[in-house]
Amino acid sequence: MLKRLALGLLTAWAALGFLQEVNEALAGWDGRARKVAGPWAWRMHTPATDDLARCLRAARESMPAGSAVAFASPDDAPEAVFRRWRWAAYFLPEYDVLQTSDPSAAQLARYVVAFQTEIQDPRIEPVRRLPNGWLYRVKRP
Amino acid sequence: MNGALLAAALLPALLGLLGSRLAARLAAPEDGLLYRWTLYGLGGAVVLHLGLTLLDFAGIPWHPLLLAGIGIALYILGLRFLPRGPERSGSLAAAGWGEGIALSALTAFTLFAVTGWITFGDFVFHWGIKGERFYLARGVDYEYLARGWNWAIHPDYPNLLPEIYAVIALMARRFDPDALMLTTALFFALTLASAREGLRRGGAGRFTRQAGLALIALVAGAFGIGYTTAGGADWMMALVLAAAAPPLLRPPDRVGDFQIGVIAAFAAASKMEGVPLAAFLILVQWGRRAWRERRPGFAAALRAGLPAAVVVLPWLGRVIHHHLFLGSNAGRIDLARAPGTARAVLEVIRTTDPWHGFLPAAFLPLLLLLPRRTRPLAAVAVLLLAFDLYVYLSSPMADQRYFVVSNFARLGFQLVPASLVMALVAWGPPEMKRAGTSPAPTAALD
Repeated sequence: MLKRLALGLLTAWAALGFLQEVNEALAGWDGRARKVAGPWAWRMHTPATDDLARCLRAARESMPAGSAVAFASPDDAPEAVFRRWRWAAYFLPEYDVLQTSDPSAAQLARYVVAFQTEIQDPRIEPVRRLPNGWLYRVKRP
Repeated sequence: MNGALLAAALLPALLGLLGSRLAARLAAPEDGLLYRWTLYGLGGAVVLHLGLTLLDFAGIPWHPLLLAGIGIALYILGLRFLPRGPERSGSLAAAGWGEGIALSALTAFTLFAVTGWITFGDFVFHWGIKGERFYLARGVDYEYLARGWNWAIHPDYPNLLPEIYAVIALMARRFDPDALMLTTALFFALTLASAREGLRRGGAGRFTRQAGLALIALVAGAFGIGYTTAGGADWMMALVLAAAAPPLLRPPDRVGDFQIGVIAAFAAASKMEGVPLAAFLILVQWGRRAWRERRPGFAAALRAGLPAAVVVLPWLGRVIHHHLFLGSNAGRIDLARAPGTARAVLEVIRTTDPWHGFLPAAFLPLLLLLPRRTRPLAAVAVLLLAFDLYVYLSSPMADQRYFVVSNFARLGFQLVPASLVMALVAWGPPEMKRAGTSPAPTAALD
Protein backbone atom coordinates (compact mmCIF):
# COMPACT_ATOMS: atom_id res chain seq x y z
CA MET A 1 0.00 0.00 0.00
CA LEU A 2 2.84 2.35 0.90
CA LYS A 3 4.49 1.76 -2.49
CA ARG A 4 1.25 2.56 -4.30
CA LEU A 5 0.90 5.74 -2.29
CA ALA A 6 4.49 6.74 -3.05
CA LEU A 7 4.04 6.07 -6.77
CA GLY A 8 0.77 7.99 -6.76
CA LEU A 9 2.41 10.96 -5.04
CA LEU A 10 5.33 10.90 -7.47
CA THR A 11 2.92 10.89 -10.40
CA ALA A 12 0.94 13.76 -8.88
CA TRP A 13 4.18 15.73 -8.39
CA ALA A 14 5.13 15.05 -12.01
CA ALA A 15 1.67 16.22 -13.11
CA LEU A 16 2.13 19.50 -11.24
CA GLY A 17 5.52 19.98 -12.86
CA PHE A 18 4.10 19.22 -16.27
CA LEU A 19 1.27 21.71 -15.82
CA GLN A 20 3.76 24.36 -14.71
CA GLU A 21 5.84 23.83 -17.86
CA VAL A 22 2.73 23.94 -20.05
CA ASN A 23 1.64 27.15 -18.34
CA GLU A 24 5.04 28.78 -18.80
CA ALA A 25 5.27 27.69 -22.42
CA LEU A 26 1.80 29.08 -23.13
CA ALA A 27 2.66 32.38 -21.47
CA GLY A 28 5.91 32.52 -23.46
CA TRP A 29 4.14 31.75 -26.72
CA ASP A 30 1.47 34.39 -26.06
CA GLY A 31 4.14 36.97 -25.22
CA ARG A 32 6.59 36.05 -27.96
CA ALA A 33 6.06 39.33 -29.83
CA ARG A 34 7.34 41.21 -26.78
CA LYS A 35 10.12 38.76 -25.99
CA VAL A 36 13.52 40.38 -25.65
CA ALA A 37 16.33 37.90 -25.12
CA GLY A 38 20.04 37.63 -25.76
CA PRO A 39 21.12 35.43 -28.69
CA TRP A 40 21.84 32.53 -26.31
CA ALA A 41 18.08 32.39 -25.59
CA TRP A 42 16.70 33.13 -29.04
CA ARG A 43 13.74 31.09 -30.20
CA MET A 44 11.89 30.66 -33.47
CA HIS A 45 9.18 33.20 -34.27
CA THR A 46 10.44 35.93 -31.94
CA PRO A 47 11.22 39.50 -33.04
CA ALA A 48 14.99 38.95 -32.82
CA THR A 49 15.09 35.89 -35.07
CA ASP A 50 12.43 37.33 -37.39
CA ASP A 51 14.60 40.47 -37.80
CA LEU A 52 17.63 38.38 -38.68
CA ALA A 53 15.61 36.22 -41.08
CA ARG A 54 14.24 39.34 -42.81
CA CYS A 55 17.72 40.81 -43.14
CA LEU A 56 19.13 37.62 -44.66
CA ARG A 57 16.15 37.09 -46.95
CA ALA A 58 16.85 40.49 -48.46
CA ALA A 59 20.59 39.75 -48.71
CA ARG A 60 19.88 36.49 -50.51
CA GLU A 61 18.31 38.42 -53.41
CA SER A 62 21.71 39.94 -54.22
CA MET A 63 24.01 36.97 -53.62
CA PRO A 64 24.30 33.93 -55.91
CA ALA A 65 23.60 30.66 -54.10
CA GLY A 66 26.75 28.84 -53.08
CA SER A 67 28.70 32.03 -52.38
CA ALA A 68 30.91 32.30 -49.35
CA VAL A 69 29.52 34.99 -47.06
CA ALA A 70 31.15 36.57 -44.04
CA PHE A 71 28.68 37.46 -41.32
CA ALA A 72 29.18 40.31 -38.87
CA SER A 73 27.05 41.39 -35.94
CA PRO A 74 27.49 43.79 -33.01
CA ASP A 75 30.79 43.14 -31.28
CA ASP A 76 29.58 42.23 -27.81
CA ALA A 77 30.07 39.01 -25.84
CA PRO A 78 31.81 36.31 -27.94
CA GLU A 79 29.03 33.85 -27.12
CA ALA A 80 26.42 36.28 -28.50
CA VAL A 81 28.44 36.86 -31.68
CA PHE A 82 28.87 33.11 -32.09
CA ARG A 83 25.15 32.40 -31.67
CA ARG A 84 24.09 35.11 -34.13
CA TRP A 85 26.52 33.60 -36.64
CA ARG A 86 24.99 30.14 -36.18
CA TRP A 87 21.47 31.50 -36.63
CA ALA A 88 22.64 33.31 -39.79
CA ALA A 89 24.13 30.06 -41.13
CA TYR A 90 20.83 28.31 -40.38
CA PHE A 91 18.89 30.92 -42.33
CA LEU A 92 21.33 30.67 -45.26
CA PRO A 93 21.81 26.92 -45.78
CA GLU A 94 22.64 27.30 -49.46
CA TYR A 95 25.65 29.54 -48.66
CA ASP A 96 28.93 29.05 -46.86
CA VAL A 97 28.59 31.40 -43.92
CA LEU A 98 31.79 32.31 -42.08
CA GLN A 99 32.46 34.61 -39.17
CA THR A 100 34.29 37.77 -40.16
CA SER A 101 36.92 36.82 -37.60
CA ASP A 102 37.58 33.50 -39.37
CA PRO A 103 40.96 33.65 -41.16
CA SER A 104 39.40 31.84 -44.16
CA ALA A 105 36.90 34.66 -44.64
CA ALA A 106 39.54 37.04 -46.01
CA GLN A 107 40.36 34.61 -48.84
CA LEU A 108 36.98 33.03 -49.52
CA ALA A 109 34.17 35.46 -48.76
CA ARG A 110 32.66 37.29 -51.72
CA TYR A 111 30.06 39.09 -49.64
CA VAL A 112 29.75 40.44 -46.13
CA VAL A 113 26.40 40.68 -44.34
CA ALA A 114 26.46 43.06 -41.40
CA PHE A 115 23.46 42.59 -39.08
CA GLN A 116 22.59 45.49 -36.78
CA THR A 117 25.97 47.02 -37.49
CA GLU A 118 27.92 48.84 -40.19
CA ILE A 119 31.43 48.11 -41.40
CA GLN A 120 33.97 50.64 -42.61
CA ASP A 121 36.68 48.74 -44.43
CA PRO A 122 38.49 49.67 -47.66
CA ARG A 123 38.43 46.03 -48.79
CA ILE A 124 34.62 46.00 -49.12
CA GLU A 125 32.02 48.14 -50.85
CA PRO A 126 28.33 48.48 -49.96
CA VAL A 127 25.86 46.71 -52.26
CA ARG A 128 22.60 47.63 -50.56
CA ARG A 129 20.98 48.48 -47.30
CA LEU A 130 19.12 45.56 -45.72
CA PRO A 131 16.42 45.51 -43.06
CA ASN A 132 18.54 45.81 -39.89
CA GLY A 133 21.81 45.65 -41.71
CA TRP A 134 24.02 46.08 -44.76
CA LEU A 135 25.22 43.90 -47.58
CA TYR A 136 28.77 44.47 -48.86
CA ARG A 137 30.77 43.01 -51.73
CA VAL A 138 34.39 42.09 -51.18
CA LYS A 139 36.67 43.93 -53.62
CA ARG A 140 38.90 41.56 -55.52
CA PRO A 141 41.93 42.75 -57.43
CA MET B 1 -3.21 20.17 -42.88
CA ASN B 2 -0.31 21.68 -44.79
CA GLY B 3 1.82 19.55 -47.11
CA ALA B 4 4.92 19.62 -44.93
CA LEU B 5 3.00 18.45 -41.87
CA LEU B 6 1.38 15.73 -43.97
CA ALA B 7 4.80 14.61 -45.22
CA ALA B 8 6.16 14.60 -41.65
CA ALA B 9 3.26 12.37 -40.62
CA LEU B 10 3.42 10.19 -43.72
CA LEU B 11 7.12 9.30 -43.69
CA PRO B 12 7.07 7.55 -40.28
CA ALA B 13 3.92 5.66 -41.32
CA LEU B 14 5.64 4.49 -44.51
CA LEU B 15 8.78 3.53 -42.61
CA GLY B 16 6.63 1.56 -40.17
CA LEU B 17 4.98 -0.26 -43.08
CA LEU B 18 8.37 -1.03 -44.60
CA GLY B 19 9.67 -2.24 -41.24
CA SER B 20 6.60 -4.42 -40.75
CA ARG B 21 8.01 -6.72 -43.48
CA LEU B 22 10.61 -7.71 -40.89
CA ALA B 23 7.89 -8.79 -38.47
CA ALA B 24 8.76 -12.48 -38.56
CA ARG B 25 12.24 -11.67 -37.25
CA LEU B 26 11.43 -8.63 -35.19
CA ALA B 27 8.23 -9.37 -33.28
CA ALA B 28 7.66 -11.96 -30.60
CA PRO B 29 4.13 -13.39 -30.26
CA GLU B 30 3.81 -11.77 -26.82
CA ASP B 31 4.84 -8.30 -28.02
CA GLY B 32 2.09 -5.72 -27.86
CA LEU B 33 0.78 -3.92 -30.93
CA LEU B 34 2.29 -0.52 -30.10
CA TYR B 35 5.68 -1.99 -29.32
CA ARG B 36 5.66 -3.97 -32.54
CA TRP B 37 5.03 -0.80 -34.51
CA THR B 38 7.79 0.89 -32.56
CA LEU B 39 10.20 -1.80 -33.72
CA TYR B 40 8.86 -1.63 -37.28
CA GLY B 41 9.42 2.13 -37.24
CA LEU B 42 12.99 1.72 -36.01
CA GLY B 43 13.60 -1.00 -38.60
CA GLY B 44 12.15 1.17 -41.36
CA ALA B 45 14.32 4.11 -40.29
CA VAL B 46 17.43 1.92 -40.41
CA VAL B 47 16.47 0.69 -43.90
CA LEU B 48 15.95 4.32 -45.00
CA HIS B 49 19.35 5.28 -43.63
CA LEU B 50 21.07 2.38 -45.38
CA GLY B 51 19.26 3.15 -48.63
CA LEU B 52 20.31 6.79 -48.54
CA THR B 53 23.86 5.77 -47.67
CA LEU B 54 23.94 3.44 -50.68
CA LEU B 55 22.68 6.20 -52.97
CA ASP B 56 25.38 8.51 -51.59
CA PHE B 57 28.08 5.92 -52.24
CA ALA B 58 26.76 5.44 -55.77
CA GLY B 59 26.67 9.19 -56.33
CA ILE B 60 22.94 9.13 -57.09
CA PRO B 61 21.05 12.24 -55.92
CA TRP B 62 18.06 11.67 -53.66
CA HIS B 63 14.82 12.19 -55.53
CA PRO B 64 11.41 11.63 -53.95
CA LEU B 65 10.23 9.42 -56.83
CA LEU B 66 13.39 7.33 -56.67
CA LEU B 67 13.02 6.94 -52.91
CA ALA B 68 9.35 6.02 -53.29
CA GLY B 69 10.25 3.47 -55.97
CA ILE B 70 12.93 1.88 -53.81
CA GLY B 71 10.56 1.80 -50.84
CA ILE B 72 7.80 0.13 -52.85
CA ALA B 73 10.25 -2.37 -54.37
CA LEU B 74 11.60 -3.30 -50.94
CA TYR B 75 8.09 -3.65 -49.56
CA ILE B 76 7.02 -5.95 -52.41
CA LEU B 77 10.21 -8.00 -52.11
CA GLY B 78 9.56 -8.30 -48.38
CA LEU B 79 5.99 -9.37 -49.05
CA ARG B 80 7.16 -11.98 -51.55
CA PHE B 81 10.20 -13.43 -49.81
CA LEU B 82 9.98 -12.71 -46.07
CA PRO B 83 7.75 -14.82 -43.82
CA ARG B 84 4.73 -13.23 -42.15
CA GLY B 85 4.96 -12.13 -38.56
CA PRO B 86 3.39 -14.02 -35.66
CA GLU B 87 -0.29 -13.51 -34.93
CA ARG B 88 -0.99 -11.22 -32.04
CA SER B 89 -3.65 -11.35 -29.34
CA GLY B 90 -5.26 -8.72 -27.14
CA SER B 91 -6.44 -5.25 -28.06
CA LEU B 92 -5.95 -1.61 -27.17
CA ALA B 93 -9.45 -1.50 -25.69
CA ALA B 94 -8.03 -2.30 -22.27
CA ALA B 95 -6.21 1.06 -22.11
CA GLY B 96 -6.61 2.80 -18.78
CA TRP B 97 -6.12 6.14 -17.06
CA GLY B 98 -2.34 5.98 -17.41
CA GLU B 99 -2.63 5.80 -21.17
CA GLY B 100 -5.09 8.71 -21.05
CA ILE B 101 -2.65 10.92 -19.13
CA ALA B 102 0.24 9.85 -21.37
CA LEU B 103 -1.78 10.71 -24.46
CA SER B 104 -2.65 14.13 -23.00
CA ALA B 105 1.02 14.86 -22.26
CA LEU B 106 1.98 13.72 -25.75
CA THR B 107 -0.73 15.89 -27.32
CA ALA B 108 0.37 18.99 -25.39
CA PHE B 109 4.00 18.37 -26.36
CA THR B 110 3.05 17.87 -30.01
CA LEU B 111 1.03 21.08 -30.16
CA PHE B 112 3.91 23.10 -28.71
CA ALA B 113 6.41 21.34 -30.94
CA VAL B 114 4.69 22.11 -34.24
CA THR B 115 4.44 25.80 -33.36
CA GLY B 116 8.23 25.87 -33.28
CA TRP B 117 8.13 27.40 -29.79
CA ILE B 118 10.00 24.55 -28.11
CA THR B 119 12.48 23.98 -30.93
CA PHE B 120 15.87 23.06 -29.52
CA GLY B 121 18.81 25.38 -30.18
CA ASP B 122 20.77 22.46 -31.62
CA PHE B 123 18.17 22.15 -34.37
CA VAL B 124 19.33 25.57 -35.52
CA PHE B 125 23.00 24.94 -34.81
CA HIS B 126 23.34 21.55 -36.46
CA TRP B 127 20.44 19.11 -36.95
CA GLY B 128 18.24 21.49 -38.91
CA ILE B 129 20.91 23.19 -40.97
CA LYS B 130 22.31 19.81 -41.98
CA GLY B 131 18.82 18.60 -42.87
CA GLU B 132 18.18 21.59 -45.10
CA ARG B 133 21.63 21.40 -46.67
CA PHE B 134 21.14 17.70 -47.47
CA TYR B 135 17.71 18.54 -48.89
CA LEU B 136 19.22 21.19 -51.16
CA ALA B 137 22.18 18.97 -52.11
CA ARG B 138 19.97 15.86 -52.59
CA GLY B 139 22.39 13.89 -50.47
CA VAL B 140 24.75 14.09 -47.50
CA ASP B 141 26.97 17.03 -48.45
CA TYR B 142 30.35 15.83 -47.19
CA GLU B 143 32.23 18.68 -48.83
CA TYR B 144 30.11 21.12 -46.87
CA LEU B 145 30.56 19.16 -43.64
CA ALA B 146 34.33 19.08 -44.16
CA ARG B 147 34.76 22.84 -44.45
CA GLY B 148 36.94 24.13 -41.65
CA TRP B 149 34.42 26.55 -40.18
CA ASN B 150 31.71 23.91 -40.03
CA TRP B 151 33.15 22.35 -36.88
CA ALA B 152 30.19 24.09 -35.22
CA ILE B 153 27.68 21.75 -36.86
CA HIS B 154 29.33 18.58 -35.54
CA PRO B 155 30.25 17.27 -39.00
CA ASP B 156 31.24 13.86 -37.61
CA TYR B 157 27.84 12.99 -36.14
CA PRO B 158 25.81 10.15 -37.69
CA ASN B 159 23.18 11.57 -40.03
CA LEU B 160 19.90 9.71 -39.61
CA LEU B 161 18.02 12.68 -38.12
CA PRO B 162 19.02 15.23 -40.79
CA GLU B 163 18.35 12.57 -43.40
CA ILE B 164 14.81 12.17 -42.08
CA TYR B 165 14.41 15.96 -42.21
CA ALA B 166 15.74 16.07 -45.76
CA VAL B 167 13.46 13.27 -46.96
CA ILE B 168 10.40 14.92 -45.41
CA ALA B 169 11.41 18.18 -47.12
CA LEU B 170 11.83 16.31 -50.41
CA MET B 171 8.34 14.85 -50.02
CA ALA B 172 6.88 18.26 -49.16
CA ARG B 173 9.09 20.11 -51.69
CA ARG B 174 10.05 22.60 -49.01
CA PHE B 175 11.90 22.67 -45.73
CA ASP B 176 9.37 23.55 -43.03
CA PRO B 177 11.09 23.45 -39.61
CA ASP B 178 7.87 23.63 -37.61
CA ALA B 179 6.38 20.62 -39.41
CA LEU B 180 9.59 18.66 -38.85
CA MET B 181 9.04 18.90 -35.10
CA LEU B 182 6.34 16.28 -35.56
CA THR B 183 9.15 13.74 -35.78
CA THR B 184 10.17 14.53 -32.20
CA ALA B 185 6.57 14.03 -31.09
CA LEU B 186 6.72 10.65 -32.79
CA PHE B 187 9.92 9.71 -30.95
CA PHE B 188 8.14 10.69 -27.73
CA ALA B 189 5.16 8.50 -28.67
CA LEU B 190 7.41 5.53 -29.46
CA THR B 191 9.28 6.04 -26.19
CA LEU B 192 5.98 5.85 -24.32
CA ALA B 193 4.92 2.76 -26.29
CA SER B 194 8.24 1.12 -25.37
CA ALA B 195 7.98 2.13 -21.72
CA ARG B 196 4.45 0.72 -21.59
CA GLU B 197 5.68 -2.55 -23.07
CA GLY B 198 8.64 -2.62 -20.72
CA LEU B 199 6.36 -2.28 -17.71
CA ARG B 200 4.03 -4.95 -19.05
CA ARG B 201 6.74 -7.42 -20.02
CA GLY B 202 8.57 -6.67 -16.81
CA GLY B 203 5.56 -8.01 -14.93
CA ALA B 204 4.50 -4.77 -13.21
CA GLY B 205 1.03 -4.78 -11.67
CA ARG B 206 -1.86 -2.91 -13.29
CA PHE B 207 -1.62 0.13 -11.01
CA THR B 208 2.13 0.33 -11.56
CA ARG B 209 1.68 0.08 -15.31
CA GLN B 210 -0.86 2.87 -15.36
CA ALA B 211 0.83 5.18 -12.86
CA GLY B 212 4.26 4.38 -14.27
CA LEU B 213 3.31 5.24 -17.83
CA ALA B 214 1.67 8.47 -16.65
CA LEU B 215 4.75 9.31 -14.57
CA ILE B 216 7.16 8.75 -17.46
CA ALA B 217 4.99 10.73 -19.89
CA LEU B 218 4.64 13.66 -17.49
CA VAL B 219 8.31 13.75 -16.53
CA ALA B 220 9.53 13.49 -20.14
CA GLY B 221 6.84 15.88 -21.37
CA ALA B 222 7.66 18.52 -18.74
CA PHE B 223 11.36 18.35 -19.56
CA GLY B 224 10.68 18.22 -23.30
CA ILE B 225 8.57 21.36 -23.19
CA GLY B 226 10.41 23.34 -20.53
CA TYR B 227 13.93 22.64 -21.78
CA THR B 228 12.90 23.18 -25.45
CA THR B 229 14.00 19.84 -26.83
CA ALA B 230 12.02 19.46 -30.07
CA GLY B 231 14.10 18.81 -33.16
CA GLY B 232 17.10 17.31 -31.35
CA ALA B 233 18.35 13.73 -31.28
CA ASP B 234 18.24 13.18 -27.51
CA TRP B 235 14.72 11.82 -27.88
CA MET B 236 16.12 9.14 -30.19
CA MET B 237 18.56 8.04 -27.50
CA ALA B 238 15.79 7.97 -24.88
CA LEU B 239 13.73 5.91 -27.32
CA VAL B 240 16.59 3.46 -27.88
CA LEU B 241 17.02 2.74 -24.17
CA ALA B 242 13.27 2.44 -23.59
CA ALA B 243 12.84 0.21 -26.64
CA ALA B 244 15.64 -2.05 -25.37
CA ALA B 245 13.76 -2.66 -22.13
CA PRO B 246 11.43 -5.47 -23.31
CA PRO B 247 14.13 -7.69 -24.87
CA LEU B 248 16.57 -7.04 -22.03
CA LEU B 249 14.00 -7.64 -19.28
CA ARG B 250 13.30 -11.16 -20.54
CA PRO B 251 15.72 -14.04 -21.03
CA PRO B 252 17.71 -13.77 -24.28
CA ASP B 253 16.11 -15.36 -27.31
CA ARG B 254 16.33 -15.32 -31.08
CA VAL B 255 13.76 -12.52 -31.54
CA GLY B 256 15.49 -10.55 -28.79
CA ASP B 257 18.75 -10.75 -30.74
CA PHE B 258 17.07 -9.22 -33.78
CA GLN B 259 15.33 -6.59 -31.69
CA ILE B 260 18.57 -5.55 -30.04
CA GLY B 261 20.25 -5.59 -33.46
CA VAL B 262 17.76 -3.18 -34.99
CA ILE B 263 17.59 -0.95 -31.90
CA ALA B 264 21.39 -0.77 -31.80
CA ALA B 265 21.56 0.07 -35.51
CA PHE B 266 19.06 2.88 -34.98
CA ALA B 267 21.15 4.18 -32.06
CA ALA B 268 24.34 4.11 -34.10
CA ALA B 269 22.71 6.02 -36.96
CA SER B 270 21.24 8.68 -34.68
CA LYS B 271 23.89 10.40 -32.60
CA MET B 272 27.55 10.24 -31.67
CA GLU B 273 26.94 8.65 -28.28
CA GLY B 274 24.55 6.29 -30.07
CA VAL B 275 27.58 4.48 -31.48
CA PRO B 276 28.94 3.38 -28.07
CA LEU B 277 25.35 2.84 -26.90
CA ALA B 278 24.88 0.41 -29.81
CA ALA B 279 28.08 -1.37 -28.81
CA PHE B 280 26.92 -1.63 -25.18
CA LEU B 281 23.54 -3.06 -26.21
CA ILE B 282 25.17 -5.66 -28.44
CA LEU B 283 27.85 -6.59 -25.92
CA VAL B 284 25.29 -7.07 -23.15
CA GLN B 285 23.11 -9.23 -25.41
CA TRP B 286 26.15 -11.27 -26.45
CA GLY B 287 27.16 -11.59 -22.80
CA ARG B 288 23.73 -12.84 -21.83
CA ARG B 289 23.78 -15.36 -24.65
CA ALA B 290 27.23 -16.60 -23.73
CA TRP B 291 26.34 -16.81 -20.03
CA ARG B 292 23.15 -18.72 -20.70
CA GLU B 293 24.40 -21.11 -23.34
CA ARG B 294 27.96 -21.48 -22.03
CA ARG B 295 29.32 -21.28 -25.57
CA PRO B 296 29.75 -18.55 -28.16
CA GLY B 297 26.86 -18.51 -30.64
CA PHE B 298 27.95 -17.16 -34.01
CA ALA B 299 24.42 -16.85 -35.44
CA ALA B 300 23.15 -15.02 -32.37
CA ALA B 301 26.15 -12.71 -32.44
CA LEU B 302 25.44 -11.93 -36.07
CA ARG B 303 21.75 -11.25 -35.44
CA ALA B 304 22.52 -8.74 -32.72
CA GLY B 305 25.66 -7.22 -34.18
CA LEU B 306 25.35 -7.14 -37.94
CA PRO B 307 22.74 -4.36 -38.38
CA ALA B 308 24.78 -1.90 -36.29
CA ALA B 309 28.00 -2.91 -38.08
CA VAL B 310 26.35 -2.21 -41.44
CA VAL B 311 25.42 1.26 -40.16
CA VAL B 312 28.69 2.10 -38.40
CA LEU B 313 31.23 1.00 -41.03
CA PRO B 314 30.11 3.31 -43.87
CA TRP B 315 29.76 6.20 -41.41
CA LEU B 316 33.23 5.55 -40.05
CA GLY B 317 34.66 5.29 -43.55
CA ARG B 318 33.15 8.61 -44.59
CA VAL B 319 34.20 10.37 -41.41
CA ILE B 320 37.80 9.18 -41.78
CA HIS B 321 37.90 9.85 -45.53
CA HIS B 322 36.67 13.43 -45.15
CA HIS B 323 38.61 14.10 -41.93
CA LEU B 324 35.44 14.98 -40.05
CA PHE B 325 36.43 13.92 -36.53
CA LEU B 326 36.77 16.90 -34.22
CA GLY B 327 39.78 17.15 -31.97
CA SER B 328 37.53 18.44 -29.20
CA ASN B 329 35.61 15.14 -29.03
CA ALA B 330 38.04 13.46 -26.71
CA GLY B 331 41.60 13.50 -25.53
CA ARG B 332 43.41 11.84 -22.65
CA ILE B 333 41.50 11.24 -19.43
CA ASP B 334 42.40 13.89 -16.90
CA LEU B 335 41.21 12.99 -13.40
CA ALA B 336 41.86 16.55 -12.30
CA ARG B 337 38.63 17.40 -14.14
CA ALA B 338 36.59 15.04 -11.93
CA PRO B 339 35.81 17.42 -9.04
CA GLY B 340 34.73 20.18 -11.41
CA THR B 341 32.59 17.71 -13.35
CA ALA B 342 30.92 16.46 -10.16
CA ARG B 343 30.21 20.02 -9.03
CA ALA B 344 28.73 20.90 -12.42
CA VAL B 345 26.55 17.76 -12.47
CA LEU B 346 25.22 18.64 -9.01
CA GLU B 347 24.58 22.18 -10.22
CA VAL B 348 22.55 20.84 -13.15
CA ILE B 349 20.55 18.57 -10.84
CA ARG B 350 19.89 21.48 -8.48
CA THR B 351 19.07 24.17 -11.00
CA THR B 352 17.41 22.63 -14.07
CA ASP B 353 13.82 23.58 -13.29
CA PRO B 354 12.09 21.60 -16.07
CA TRP B 355 13.25 18.40 -14.39
CA HIS B 356 11.23 19.11 -11.23
CA GLY B 357 13.61 16.95 -9.24
CA PHE B 358 13.51 13.85 -11.46
CA LEU B 359 16.97 14.09 -13.04
CA PRO B 360 18.63 11.94 -10.32
CA ALA B 361 16.58 9.07 -11.77
CA ALA B 362 19.30 8.94 -14.45
CA PHE B 363 21.58 7.45 -11.79
CA LEU B 364 19.11 4.74 -10.71
CA PRO B 365 20.74 2.18 -13.05
CA LEU B 366 23.68 2.05 -10.62
CA LEU B 367 21.29 0.56 -8.04
CA LEU B 368 19.35 -1.39 -10.63
CA LEU B 369 22.43 -3.50 -11.29
CA LEU B 370 21.49 -5.36 -8.10
CA PRO B 371 18.16 -6.95 -9.06
CA ARG B 372 18.82 -9.79 -11.46
CA ARG B 373 15.90 -8.93 -13.73
CA THR B 374 16.97 -5.36 -14.46
CA ARG B 375 20.71 -6.04 -14.51
CA PRO B 376 21.19 -6.29 -18.33
CA LEU B 377 19.44 -2.99 -19.16
CA ALA B 378 20.95 -1.32 -16.11
CA ALA B 379 24.39 -2.44 -17.30
CA VAL B 380 23.78 -0.76 -20.68
CA ALA B 381 22.63 2.44 -18.94
CA VAL B 382 25.58 2.44 -16.54
CA LEU B 383 27.98 1.95 -19.45
CA LEU B 384 26.39 4.94 -21.20
CA LEU B 385 26.79 6.99 -18.01
CA ALA B 386 30.41 5.88 -17.86
CA PHE B 387 30.87 6.96 -21.47
CA ASP B 388 29.42 10.40 -20.65
CA LEU B 389 31.86 10.61 -17.75
CA TYR B 390 34.73 9.60 -20.03
CA VAL B 391 33.83 12.43 -22.41
CA TYR B 392 33.66 14.92 -19.54
CA LEU B 393 37.05 13.81 -18.23
CA SER B 394 38.77 13.65 -21.59
CA SER B 395 37.40 16.47 -23.77
CA PRO B 396 39.89 19.31 -23.85
CA MET B 397 37.37 22.06 -23.04
CA ALA B 398 38.58 25.34 -21.60
CA ASP B 399 35.49 25.84 -19.44
CA GLN B 400 34.67 22.49 -17.86
CA ARG B 401 31.72 23.82 -15.88
CA TYR B 402 30.09 25.33 -18.97
CA PHE B 403 30.68 22.12 -20.94
CA VAL B 404 28.87 19.98 -18.37
CA VAL B 405 26.13 22.49 -17.58
CA SER B 406 25.34 22.94 -21.26
CA ASN B 407 24.50 19.29 -21.87
CA PHE B 408 24.11 17.09 -18.79
CA ALA B 409 20.41 17.85 -18.37
CA ARG B 410 19.92 16.42 -21.89
CA LEU B 411 22.26 13.48 -21.49
CA GLY B 412 20.44 12.57 -18.30
CA PHE B 413 17.18 12.75 -20.20
CA GLN B 414 18.37 9.93 -22.46
CA LEU B 415 18.45 7.66 -19.42
CA VAL B 416 15.43 8.72 -17.37
CA PRO B 417 12.50 6.99 -19.15
CA ALA B 418 14.26 3.59 -19.22
CA SER B 419 15.53 4.07 -15.66
CA LEU B 420 12.00 4.70 -14.43
CA VAL B 421 10.74 1.60 -16.26
CA MET B 422 13.44 -0.52 -14.61
CA ALA B 423 12.85 1.00 -11.18
CA LEU B 424 9.10 0.38 -11.39
CA VAL B 425 9.64 -3.20 -12.54
CA ALA B 426 12.12 -3.88 -9.76
CA TRP B 427 10.63 -1.97 -6.87
CA GLY B 428 7.11 -1.00 -7.93
CA PRO B 429 4.05 -1.97 -5.89
CA PRO B 430 2.98 -5.58 -6.41
CA GLU B 431 -0.25 -6.53 -8.15
CA MET B 432 -3.23 -6.29 -5.75
CA LYS B 433 -4.84 -9.73 -5.72
CA ARG B 434 -8.49 -10.29 -4.90
CA ALA B 435 -9.30 -13.44 -2.94
CA GLY B 436 -9.94 -16.34 -5.27
CA THR B 437 -8.74 -14.61 -8.43
CA SER B 438 -5.51 -14.78 -10.29
CA PRO B 439 -3.77 -11.68 -11.64
CA ALA B 440 -5.24 -10.35 -14.88
CA PRO B 441 -3.36 -11.66 -17.89
CA THR B 442 -1.04 -8.89 -19.02
CA ALA B 443 -1.53 -9.78 -22.67
CA ALA B 444 -4.98 -8.21 -22.42
CA LEU B 445 -3.28 -4.87 -22.06
CA ASP B 446 -1.04 -5.06 -25.05
